[in-house]
Amino acid sequence: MTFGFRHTLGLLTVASVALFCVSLLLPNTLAAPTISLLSELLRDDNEIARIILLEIRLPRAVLAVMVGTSLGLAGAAMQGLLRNPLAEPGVVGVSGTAALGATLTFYSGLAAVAPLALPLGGIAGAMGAVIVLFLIAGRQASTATLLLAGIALNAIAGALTALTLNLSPNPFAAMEIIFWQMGSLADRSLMHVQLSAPLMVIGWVLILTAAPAARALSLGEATASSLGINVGATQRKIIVGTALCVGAGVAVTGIIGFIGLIVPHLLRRSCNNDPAQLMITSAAGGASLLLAADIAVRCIPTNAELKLGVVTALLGAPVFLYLIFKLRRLESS
Amino acid sequence: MMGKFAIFGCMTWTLLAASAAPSWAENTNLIPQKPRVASLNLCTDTLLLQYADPAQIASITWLSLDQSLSPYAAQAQAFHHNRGNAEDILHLDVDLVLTGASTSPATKAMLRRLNIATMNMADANSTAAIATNITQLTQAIAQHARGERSVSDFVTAVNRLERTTAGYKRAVTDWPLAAFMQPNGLTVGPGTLSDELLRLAGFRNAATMIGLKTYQQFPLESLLRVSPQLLVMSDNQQQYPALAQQILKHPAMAHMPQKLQVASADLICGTTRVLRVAAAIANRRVQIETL
Repeated sequence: MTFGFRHTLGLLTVASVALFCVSLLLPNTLAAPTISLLSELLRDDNEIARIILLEIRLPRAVLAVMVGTSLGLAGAAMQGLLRNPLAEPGVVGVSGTAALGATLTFYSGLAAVAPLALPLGGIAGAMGAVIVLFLIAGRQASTATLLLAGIALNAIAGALTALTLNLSPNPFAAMEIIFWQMGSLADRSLMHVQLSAPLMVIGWVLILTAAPAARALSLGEATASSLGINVGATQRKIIVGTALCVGAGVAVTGIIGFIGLIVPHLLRRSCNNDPAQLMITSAAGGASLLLAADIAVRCIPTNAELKLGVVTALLGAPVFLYLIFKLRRLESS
Repeated sequence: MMGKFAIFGCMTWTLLAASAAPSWAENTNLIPQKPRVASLNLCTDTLLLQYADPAQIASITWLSLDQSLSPYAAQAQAFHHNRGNAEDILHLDVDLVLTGASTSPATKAMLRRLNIATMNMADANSTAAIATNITQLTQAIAQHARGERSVSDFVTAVNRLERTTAGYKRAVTDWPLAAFMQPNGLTVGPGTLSDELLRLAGFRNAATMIGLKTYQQFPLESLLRVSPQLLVMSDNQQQYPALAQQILKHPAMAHMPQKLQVASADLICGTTRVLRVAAAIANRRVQIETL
């Protein structure tokens, strides 16, 4: 294969860097549609452009990279863990329970007293779902079992999130279900980066240190054990790593679906179906995709800014359907 | 559900204002001298609490208990509360039911079917409309004298503000800019009551600089670029967290020059209380003028 792992990774890294710069300097559709922020920064009187760059654009672009990386990586890791290409944090309910955890800590007022409670709530929610999925669908589960478990988790988490928002005495809370279910990076600040970034990085490290063992694990648990791999420890690392990535991300951006589905699907071939390589390229791919989606929502001329989850669902849901068709053909043959 | 809708309705009053006119004419002659009245809408609650005798108030919405929504929250405790549905007030002996822009069409239809005298009041989108609403309501509840006195004071105060702004040397096109900033970064554009209040206080509305209409989000970046001299913040829920309030605390907001916090209860409904807001803004204008 000529277009292998290294080329793919290189290309995706370059794409991420380029999209990151575009995201920082994109003209503002409403305020100054033709002027890039760069030209404003080069002027002598650039005080406001500097504030816009550092306090509005930078947190947004940094979160797009970090959450995109987290979702891509978590998708690839979960697919390895559950041995199913449809295991994506949003589809199987991990993002949904993360949103529930974050909502509980935020609207109860806990996060106002101790800000770290917000990402920790998200992580606790995500962890609960990953463990439930692993117990229900872990070993020898069919695709149907996994997806049904995901539907159940999403239904419970969605209902409890709506209930939490409706129980809040703040009249704005109920309408914020849109943010939690569809996700957005609009008007995030460096505070959100500070809260979530360290936890996401810990998640990345956990997943990536488990990646070599995951390669052996893909040959089956017995084979992996015979190769001297500690199966339990590897699985625990992936479970905790995924919870950290998805939980901390969703806590500051809401649910952004399908990234962990589209990216590994597109990259699997160029990684020769190697789970470790797939995790690394999916991380870079996730960052590129989320950056691109976020640039798209800022360019589409809607009255209120489109939510990110709308774009990722429009891209991802067809891929999801295609994968179901493909799997059905595989299972029937 | 109804509650959320009612609040949402209040916030979008500018959009809905044009639609409705009183639909009670045929039943008015049946109403006794001092009618007992039930209100199914926050803004009609507020007017009722302001002008009716306590004995006339049969029911008001539970929203009026919230002091961030109603200036008469303390007085509101004493009355029967409804959730904006017809069902809540059917067992009460009322002569007139007040509905508003956010009352659901189903509720209005039910009141009509039951042959209950109702008066629908459109939300006021100008000071002139406030005066009209006060006149209509006080006539319907047989409080003409109170209404006339209040309207005449109101009009005098509006005229006084107009005279002050006419005294400024700068041309209107050169007036300082101000913008309303509400939870979710929402602002108000031309054709709204808040827009008129800014003009009465001697400011141009910054929202018009980027072509925003009625009730819309003022993007943070645009706000920094337009950089109005005054931000009028009306945050009505500070004790319970919601994402809506986060944008008001965004670090970039710290770079905005002047902020004025006004009571949302004075601004949510078109009553004489809006003049308090106008006066507070006008004060800032005087400060700018003397600099």
